[in-house]
Amino acid sequence: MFGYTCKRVFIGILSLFVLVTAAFFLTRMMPGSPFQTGNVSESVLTSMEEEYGLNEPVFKQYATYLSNLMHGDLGISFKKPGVRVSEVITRAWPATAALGALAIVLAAVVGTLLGIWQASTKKRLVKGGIFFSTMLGTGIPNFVIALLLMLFFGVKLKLLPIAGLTGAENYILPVVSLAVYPAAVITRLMRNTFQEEMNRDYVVLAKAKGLSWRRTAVTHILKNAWIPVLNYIGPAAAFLMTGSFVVESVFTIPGLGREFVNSIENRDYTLILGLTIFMGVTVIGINLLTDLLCAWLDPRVRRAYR
Amino acid sequence: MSKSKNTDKKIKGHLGKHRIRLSGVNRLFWAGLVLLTILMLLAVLVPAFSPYSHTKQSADIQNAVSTLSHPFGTDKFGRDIFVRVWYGTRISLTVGMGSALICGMIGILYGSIAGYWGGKTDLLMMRAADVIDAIPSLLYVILIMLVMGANVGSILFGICISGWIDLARIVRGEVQRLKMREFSMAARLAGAGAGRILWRHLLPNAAGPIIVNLTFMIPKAIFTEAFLSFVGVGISAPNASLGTLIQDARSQMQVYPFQMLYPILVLCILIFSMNLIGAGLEHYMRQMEEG
Repeated sequence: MFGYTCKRVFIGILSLFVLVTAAFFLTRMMPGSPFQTGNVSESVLTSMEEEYGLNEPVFKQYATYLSNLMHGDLGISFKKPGVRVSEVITRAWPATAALGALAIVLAAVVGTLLGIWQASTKKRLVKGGIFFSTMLGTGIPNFVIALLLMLFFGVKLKLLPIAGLTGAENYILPVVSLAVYPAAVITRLMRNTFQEEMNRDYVVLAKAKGLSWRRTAVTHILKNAWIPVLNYIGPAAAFLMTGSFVVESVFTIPGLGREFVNSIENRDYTLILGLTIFMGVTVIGINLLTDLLCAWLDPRVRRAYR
Repeated sequence: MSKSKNTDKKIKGHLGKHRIRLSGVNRLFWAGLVLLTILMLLAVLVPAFSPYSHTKQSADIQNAVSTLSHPFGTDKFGRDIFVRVWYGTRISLTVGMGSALICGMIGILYGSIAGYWGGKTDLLMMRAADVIDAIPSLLYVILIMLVMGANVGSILFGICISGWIDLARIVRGEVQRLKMREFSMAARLAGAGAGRILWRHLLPNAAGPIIVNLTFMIPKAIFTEAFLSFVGVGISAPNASLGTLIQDARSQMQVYPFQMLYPILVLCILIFSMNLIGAGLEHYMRQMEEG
């Protein structure tokens, strides 16, 4: 376990480094100066570039950025002078994290239940219905789901609010539109592993000693069938993060995704860079944690990894 | 597909129950294929033969409702939505097929080298893939779009940076498994080179998982393209992909919802048909394995 942890952490740190480097040089390669808004004179432009350190050689800028990053300093926004990127992040992340966490919980609960139902039912209609729904769930892009939910429940029926994040009912539509895809994936995973586990010897034994079906499912099968689902939390985090771009800009929620989309529109390069790094770090971190957790729970995983 | 029919018949011969299941799976595959073919035909033919162009604006027919000459109506600039939707489908299909092709080639090459040579080469190559894979791809795809400009080429480039990794892992596993089998040993004893063994003996045996993975790659790429266009870094105006069309219609969603629903419908059918094909193939492969 120790060796495995070291290897995974090393890979994680290397990925972080690659991400920061690639993101930095890509933002430096973006065309045009960030200060060109039309009627800025040449001298003002040079003095602004000096202030932001853009007149220095690229590698020196990179070194400065890296050392600042080590201290948690992501620089100052290009478009909103005086606003630090880290301030934007501290202001925006709670909304995104709350939506993401709620969505993953909802997806896990719904996905697990549907998966078990699909695996254990004998009704062909139910089996086919759930299969078809998971196909739909993985086939419809999340921004389409968000827009359709908004159009139907918000605009046509006027049941639920369509913008902002002020009350509890504001959470319903964004969370549901984020949760559909992961729920479909978890259903599929659960169905596959549950079906496999159902025919194992230990289940037969549990049945033979008179355990109720519910008890067998919960205490015996679920314990094993949950590992692939746990493994999926990492990719799901990446999905929820990009999902937040869409859902937050559709439902006008002041979170990280909306900040990102706005910073792309404004071509605010430091903010884009800072948000990319922050989101990348979060996803890589969650991925690493779930990988380690899975390896700790299931020795086969760490043995398969050289 | 003659092979599938053969097996169908064989199973029909002595296992009555299995017949229904297998043909049910084939129904998924064929439904997807038929849908996809229709969409592809429309995407190729409609922009080519329609009297309207996807960029021509016309001030006197703005936001028109559906008529015979404009089946999906017109948008706020008086452009025919029917032509624009099928033009957008063209772009989606190009991105999907193109990225599956490029990622397929890279993935197969990378995976077979790592799997066949093994040892240090394998370890190093797979660790490098792990590093790239850990970074959420949409983040750097957005950065690349900003650097390289909003066109199909940069979308393909962005998708292909990490799109090949899953396939490479699958190919590596298959090659590792197959290279110890008798037939590849025999080929090696007969003096065949590494390239020939891989190409003629190992990869054809791994074709099933490779094809399934490639079919699922297409809808993923289409989804990525639509997402990028929706976020505002995809295909630039006046050209339009399905994602751009949906994004453009969003501002008028409350007044003219159908301008948004048509591209949404086509996009969903497109992704759905690919998923059907993929699911059908996957089931088929699994049943082949089980015998």
